[in-house]
Amino acid sequence: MPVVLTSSDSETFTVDKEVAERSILIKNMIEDVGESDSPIPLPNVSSAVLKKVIEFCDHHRNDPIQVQDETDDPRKRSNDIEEWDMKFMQVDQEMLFEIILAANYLDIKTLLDVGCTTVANLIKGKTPEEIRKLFNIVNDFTPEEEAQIKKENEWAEDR
Amino acid sequence: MDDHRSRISSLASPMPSHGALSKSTLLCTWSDLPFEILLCTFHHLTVEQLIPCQLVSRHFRTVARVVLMDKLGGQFLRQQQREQQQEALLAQNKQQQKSQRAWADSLPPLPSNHYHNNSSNIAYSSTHGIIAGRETSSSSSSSNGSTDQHHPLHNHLYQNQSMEGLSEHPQTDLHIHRQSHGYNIATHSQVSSASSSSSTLPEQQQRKSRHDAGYVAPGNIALFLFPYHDHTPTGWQERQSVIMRCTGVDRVAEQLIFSPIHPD
Repeated sequence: MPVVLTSSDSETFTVDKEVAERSILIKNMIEDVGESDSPIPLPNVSSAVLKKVIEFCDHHRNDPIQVQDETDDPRKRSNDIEEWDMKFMQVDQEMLFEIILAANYLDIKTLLDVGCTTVANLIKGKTPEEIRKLFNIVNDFTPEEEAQIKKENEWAEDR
Repeated sequence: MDDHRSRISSLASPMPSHGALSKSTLLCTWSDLPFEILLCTFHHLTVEQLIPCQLVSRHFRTVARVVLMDKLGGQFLRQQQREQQQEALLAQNKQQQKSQRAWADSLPPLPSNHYHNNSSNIAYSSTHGIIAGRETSSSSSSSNGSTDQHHPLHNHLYQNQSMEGLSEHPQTDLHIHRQSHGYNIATHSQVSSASSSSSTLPEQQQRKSRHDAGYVAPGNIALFLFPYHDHTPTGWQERQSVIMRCTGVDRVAEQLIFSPIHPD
């Protein structure tokens, strides 16, 4: 049975129920309200982002849904991303950011994990200044604070 | 229907199930990425990679410190676990060694002639292990400890050997599993007239082999292709006999090494 989703800019998307239910938020809503033809509004997700999210869910429609406990242990997390997922995440930073937020809002664990891994891979091997430049982050430390943090981390430089 | 729609709308509007995000959070930037997302991201980084993250901004530092502490705590716990495992393994090894020693001590002592009769052939060398074929006069010290069960040779001979079917040789220190071989093995005991003169072993062998092809010097092993070699002509014996000398001990493989000395 198809499910109709409405984005924040009022665009509608008709998707299979199993694809829509990759989102725990939508799955819970359908369970709570019961099956109906009424579109499900997603006011926090734009049509461009929702399109990407549906593409991801459709590709992973047959994957087992991750139970929250399985990924809660950070040691079980892997930095390896599947080739398809890697290509899927080759988007501009703004879209990557929106996808991560949408995955968090829609409660799609796999998508959130892929997004976070992509960001982590961007951070790897970069200096604080390079990370600031990459994500357009303002340095809000005072010089004293910065010196203090550097001193705190001296142990790591000796390793 | 309208009621149904309004219920769905009320459920879908700002009520996230996982991230506790409100509409306002959508306006955020990388610098103030929600705590749970940044946490998830930083968990993919190593301790070394987290250090520069602490220096990016105050928000990054807060999250990076949490993850860093978590990871360091985890590392410490894993280190502790590794140490405990190693200690357990060491204790287990010690226990095994103890039980092996107890087993070796419970073995019957080697025969009294074990070293005495073979002092001319087997001597212990710190560099080469057991060396066979020495002259009679050259080895006397090792023969004195004939009942010493902790002699390396004793350990070697009994190590990992099944006692079943082992026939202890009266004259040599070799315990030969006769039933397992398809050929006959003879030693110098078959020649009772073995010389005890001070001449060297090769000389003895050469001299003896001229008169008696069945002669085998102490410590050597002869393989005869025919079962009743004593009843075959001497010429046959010479042709069918291979005399071997124990030339070393491979302690790693736990094997005695024999080299053929006859025919040349």
